[in-house]
Amino acid sequence: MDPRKLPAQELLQLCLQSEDQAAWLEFVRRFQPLIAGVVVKSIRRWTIPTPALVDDLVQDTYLKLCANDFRALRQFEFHHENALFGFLKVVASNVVHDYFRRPRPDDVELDDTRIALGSSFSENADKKILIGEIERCLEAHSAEPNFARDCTIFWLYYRQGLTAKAISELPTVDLEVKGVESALLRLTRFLKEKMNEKPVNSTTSGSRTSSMRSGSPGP
Amino acid sequence: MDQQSLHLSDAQIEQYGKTSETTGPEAGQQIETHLADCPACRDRVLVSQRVRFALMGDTPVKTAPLPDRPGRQCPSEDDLRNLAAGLCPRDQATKLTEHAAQCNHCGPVLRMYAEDFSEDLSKDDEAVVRKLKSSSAGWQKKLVSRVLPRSSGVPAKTSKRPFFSTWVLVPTTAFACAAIAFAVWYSQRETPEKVEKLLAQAYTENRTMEMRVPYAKHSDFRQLRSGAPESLLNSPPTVRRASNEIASQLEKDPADPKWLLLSARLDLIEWNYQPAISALDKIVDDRVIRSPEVLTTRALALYEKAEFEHDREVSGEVVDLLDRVLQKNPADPVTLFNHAVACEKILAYECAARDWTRLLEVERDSGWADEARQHLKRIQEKKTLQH
Repeated sequence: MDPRKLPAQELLQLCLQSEDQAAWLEFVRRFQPLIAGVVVKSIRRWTIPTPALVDDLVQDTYLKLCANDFRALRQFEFHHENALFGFLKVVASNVVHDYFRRPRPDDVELDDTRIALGSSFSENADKKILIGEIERCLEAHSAEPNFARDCTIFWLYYRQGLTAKAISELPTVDLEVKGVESALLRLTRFLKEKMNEKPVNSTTSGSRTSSMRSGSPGP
Repeated sequence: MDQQSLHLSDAQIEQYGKTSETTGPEAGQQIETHLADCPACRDRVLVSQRVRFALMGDTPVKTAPLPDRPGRQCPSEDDLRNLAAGLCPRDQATKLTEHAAQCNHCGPVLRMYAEDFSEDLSKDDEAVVRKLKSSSAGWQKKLVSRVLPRSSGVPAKTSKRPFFSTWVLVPTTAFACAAIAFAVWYSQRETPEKVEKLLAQAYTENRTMEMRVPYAKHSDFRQLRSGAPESLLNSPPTVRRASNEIASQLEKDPADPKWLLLSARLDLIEWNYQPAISALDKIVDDRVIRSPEVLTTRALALYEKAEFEHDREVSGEVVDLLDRVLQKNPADPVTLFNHAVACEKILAYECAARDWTRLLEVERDSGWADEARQHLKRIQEKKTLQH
């Protein structure tokens, strides 16, 4: 049996049942790019990744999977065909975040950092007003099929900054990238029409909301 | 439409969704038809609209920790991570996604994991990935031999494999003879590696230090009661043998960093931390000074100093030094063990508990693992008492 030809689930079963070296080599070879990809991106959130550190944390990920007689892998359940890929991503991500969250003597108190990162009061108030207006406009669309899903897509894209591709990969969305983009364009058109119908109100620091409603080009 | 590129012009992208008196509904229909078939223009329109809506948080999700605190209704970070990885049951996934779409804490967390778990790599990340040793067959074989200790086909390799072992395998008589001659000579001389192992053996035979030294097998910790080091005359033969060799080598070259390091280790076995620190201070090569071996040995010396002088500040320095070693070797059991001990000394029990837990994942010596479990249990008992 050639391990390279086995699907992920069967490969893992072979590894765990026989502890066959060829199977394990294939397991390590097949998933190294996936684990390394997650590790390098996760490290970048904290510092500039170096090959040595990435290699170390890739190794740690495998060691974590194999610790205690491969307990994590033995307990893993295949709910769907891609579940193993998701599981390995989670383990790799955990390894990196655990590594960097280790307290260091010169750690800055988290609360101080958060205060420094916050937006100004007027900007936040402005944003809340705009969000409220958009919510009211979207409500007018609530009779449309898939309204709840499309609203979620809208907010994930415009407010949380997820890409259309990332949204399409979420398990509840059930759309290809093009479908997500089409839903976004549909709601965007609808929203701009709705907002253009309303008179422009002046706000204290509300240049953002006013320019949005009037459709004038941004800065 | 930009006739040269057959894409929407910048003006059309900016004015998307606005009914203009000069263009009219036909032009709008043309744009929609183009967008239906052109992923690049769809992306341009959406990105442009996102900038104009300006609803996103001011802090880009590039760095950790993330801004904003979780609210009472917020799910755990693990739930969001599982959602991004596609591991949530469908019912839960729907609720989590709807919540994250509207939440200033969970939205950025979900976005962070969605980005980390996507297949796309930036050019910078691709450049790092291209240089990884873990992509090579050699690295992967070595890893498999480590995680499958019972396997026989892939021999476990260590970085300190005896030099002659390669040569005795060469099937040429002349080489074999040379190798045998070399092996005889080699076995009669003391290399730094051999002396290091002798010191580890001496430590195991009479463990008077709670922290570990490299290569040492487990033995029970026997605390020194007198507060003074024992005479060298009472030292076991392993220590005396190591001591003779180190002295002889340093006589030949007093600045040799390998032997200075071993000299410091020898002193530490006898709890002579001041001479140990002096020996380490004689090492001048900056790369050697920053090596894990020297950092570890200095940490051991300062640990002894902190113990004798009851100095909490020095214990903090020990944590700092071992922290640097862990950044280089995050899964090294000896460093994890020592870091955990040092954290306990400064009463950083959360930090110690994390180290003990992590150690239990990588430690293969059951003696050291049992000791780690006992420490972890004591910390958990302390936590229970506090509550």
